[in-house]
Amino acid sequence: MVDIATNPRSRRLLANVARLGQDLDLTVVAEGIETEEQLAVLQAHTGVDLVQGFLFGRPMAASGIGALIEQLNAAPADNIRKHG
Amino acid sequence: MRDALGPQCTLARLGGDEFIIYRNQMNDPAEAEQDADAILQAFAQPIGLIETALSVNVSVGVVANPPAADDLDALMAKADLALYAAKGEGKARSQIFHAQMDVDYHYRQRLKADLEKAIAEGALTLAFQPLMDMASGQVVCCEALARWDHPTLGPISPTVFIPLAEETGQITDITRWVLCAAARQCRKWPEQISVAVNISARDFRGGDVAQMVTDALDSSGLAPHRLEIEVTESALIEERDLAQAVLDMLVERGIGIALDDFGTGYSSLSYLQALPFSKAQD
Repeated sequence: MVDIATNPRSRRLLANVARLGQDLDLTVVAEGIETEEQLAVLQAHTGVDLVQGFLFGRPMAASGIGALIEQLNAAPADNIRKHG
Repeated sequence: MRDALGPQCTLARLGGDEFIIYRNQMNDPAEAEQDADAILQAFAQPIGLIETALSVNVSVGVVANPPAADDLDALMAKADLALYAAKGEGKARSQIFHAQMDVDYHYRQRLKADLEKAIAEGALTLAFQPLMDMASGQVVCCEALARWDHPTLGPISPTVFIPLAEETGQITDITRWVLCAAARQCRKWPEQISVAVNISARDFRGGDVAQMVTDALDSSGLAPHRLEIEVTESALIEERDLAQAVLDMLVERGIGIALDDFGTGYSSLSYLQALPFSKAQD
């Protein structure tokens, strides 16, 4: 995941692993998304269904997560801007 | 082994597959290392026994230059720590005891005791990290993660305390608590958001995972489809038979199962077929 924005081989490997999961009717999650560039590559080149990582939120206490969910879901289009 | 050692070494069997070598007249720690190498060398080739070739792996822990004040028990404890370190590095290794091993050992023992206390007193906390849907941009799930803020040492990384808890079996108490607390928390979120909880290999071995999940759902009133169980590949490899039965049962109840670290570990792709996952995380 770390170098998918810069390494085409990593990107192709990820895209194929994701494809394998989807062909087996699995929901595919990409973890460790930290940058907009990584998100853009995922959108343009893979069929990943879900993403998780610091780009969207670090792990946070129960008291804060409710507010983060509200904030993120208030403007969903901004969370996953259309790239590529 | 006797053939591999010089006359200044006394060889004895401690019990089971453990042996002790006591070396007299040591002028240089390098001599102890040479003895250790000689032992490893002696076992490098398979041993012929009644027309069968047996491969044997040996690990060696060495105490060289011990303080004069060390009695036999202290020497044995140090040799044991060195042996433990040698095994940790892989098969057929030798390791010389150094003081840091003692420090590490006591630190780990302290953490284990303190963790026991933290679990009993409910001092662990939960952190949540959102999973976003790529198509809608919405939060669809949050992963629940155990956190430990030690009263004097500060936050202890999960990469430290989770393996310790797996070693002692405390992990099952942690998992039980995380399941309940996470399910309770999830009820406060909008309907479409689920919660994911990590289950350790040790949980399948030592705990009743199905019962723990049932208790968490019953006590919180959370709908089963809003709970997701995350298991790692290593958990499945270690505990495949135990895990399969439990996972099948959970899936039947509508609980989602996610395979964590998919494609990053020693993936055996056949697991994807044989086990009832609904999600793969990579």
